[in-house]
Amino acid sequence: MATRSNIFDKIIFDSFQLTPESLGLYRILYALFLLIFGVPNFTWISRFPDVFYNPPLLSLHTFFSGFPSYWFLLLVSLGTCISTVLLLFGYKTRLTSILLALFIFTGKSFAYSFGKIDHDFLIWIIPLVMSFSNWGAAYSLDAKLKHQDRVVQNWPVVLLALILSFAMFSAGLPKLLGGWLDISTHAVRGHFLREFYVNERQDLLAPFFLNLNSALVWEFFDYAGVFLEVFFIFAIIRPNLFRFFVICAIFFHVFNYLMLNIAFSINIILYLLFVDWGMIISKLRKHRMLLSIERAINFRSLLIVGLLYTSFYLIYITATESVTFNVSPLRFVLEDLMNLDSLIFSGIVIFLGLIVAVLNLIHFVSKKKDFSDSTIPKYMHN
Amino acid sequence: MKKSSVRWLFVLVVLLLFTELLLALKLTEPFPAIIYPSFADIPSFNSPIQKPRIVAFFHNQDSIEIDKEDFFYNMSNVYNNVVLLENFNTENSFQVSSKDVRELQATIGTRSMSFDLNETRNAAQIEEGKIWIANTLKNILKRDDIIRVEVQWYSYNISPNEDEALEQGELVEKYVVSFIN
Repeated sequence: MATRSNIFDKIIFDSFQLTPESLGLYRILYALFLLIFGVPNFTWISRFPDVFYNPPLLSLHTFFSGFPSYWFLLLVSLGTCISTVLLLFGYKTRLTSILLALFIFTGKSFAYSFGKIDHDFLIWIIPLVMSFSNWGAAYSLDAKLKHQDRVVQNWPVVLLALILSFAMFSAGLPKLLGGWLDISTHAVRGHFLREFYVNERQDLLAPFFLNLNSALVWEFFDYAGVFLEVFFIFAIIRPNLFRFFVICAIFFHVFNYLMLNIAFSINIILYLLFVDWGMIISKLRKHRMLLSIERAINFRSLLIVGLLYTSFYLIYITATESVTFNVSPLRFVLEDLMNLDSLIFSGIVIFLGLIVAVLNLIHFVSKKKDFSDSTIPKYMHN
Repeated sequence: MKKSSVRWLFVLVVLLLFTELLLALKLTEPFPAIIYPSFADIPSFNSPIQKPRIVAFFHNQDSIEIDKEDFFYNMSNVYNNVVLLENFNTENSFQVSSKDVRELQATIGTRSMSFDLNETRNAAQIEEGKIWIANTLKNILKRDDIIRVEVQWYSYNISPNEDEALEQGELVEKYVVSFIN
């Protein structure tokens, strides 16, 4: 009989086993996510006077009396952009990951000093935690220069699973205590109406839900939200169960996006860490794409991509007059040139996540094999 | 990292996560925190909601409504509503230097201590804020004769069964920023 400490050890060290290739590809995916859908920018903060400075009470920023200077914010923004490009190519990966996390965290801390906190902490938590996984062991300049050995750590992936599921729990518990399961109230509907009218979130399927008067459906939404968020944390003991919750969470985000126009697109990039990377790698190998990725990782590409992207980023953030949270060439084309709503971006991310999750599910069901990378400990199959 | 260090790291993270959650539930949300918004309250359909409008007044008594997104450099409605709520009403006025006294109190042994958090607004910051507002309005309206701006708070009733639920707004507060000394 396994002792309690053995069980915890197996959860921490043996669940979610990933190969250097999986981690390398995930690193590229994370960096590409930022580069395509927007590298955070913080220079806009300096446009506002210090009198609006209103940081969270319990934060280091309460000891400051105002926003930092434009030059400091420009430095932080540029640091974020350059670190992202370096991470894409896996150059000095651990250092780059930690620096990227620090740059984003610093900028976000001031961005959330207007009185509103956005809960997108995963954007800096992911590189910070994954820096300990050796995600630069493959498809990286580090690997080509033999800077890094091929030994990878799985526990950072488990730590991210813990962080995600706890964050979900932190949202579910107050709902449970606050009476969401009381059948005489319709909490989701109340929040929907508030978002619809106060924050004018009236796009996508919001008008349809405005006219939805079924008490049963609204109550179902209340229960489904609470159950998903509260029980997510218990799924961490079984990777396959956790993956099932991840798929449910993706549907949950699609629903929130369509009804409330709220997009937690950064979550999708974390969810993709838990998909069946074995399947993705075999598909990429079949189409000889791994070889192409391997070839594309070189100093020449780093220099070209780095110079082009950083130049674009710098020109954009110094020229724009609008508050721009995220900058990318694609955003520039779709939002500035074609005048499309920023919801489009979140939608693309969320639906891509949904497609990957559904493909994974189909693959899992059709193969009727273990969903994981084959090394799930025996106790988890029981 | 050694296995034992990793084990301790997990223990530390779990403790940290629960501490943050406790703080968020009992006191206020810390930053940074691994927490998602709870939306624990259940908004009542019949409770009124408040929405702000920004109106600039000119020397000749003309007035014009300013789009909130224009006023805040295209900052989204979710953000600019918060900035207006935190600064442009009687309860939270950016023109009052002691609008929000924030103090962290702690008792160590028999000794009580308090730390000032988030310096309250000083006169220079308030003046800088007023100049910023005046300049922003001048840039938007291309006029130099703006004498004051009002943030007008309207109360609306939500009724999910009515198509035009927010048509009847009632003015509940006028927050005035005057540019005449």
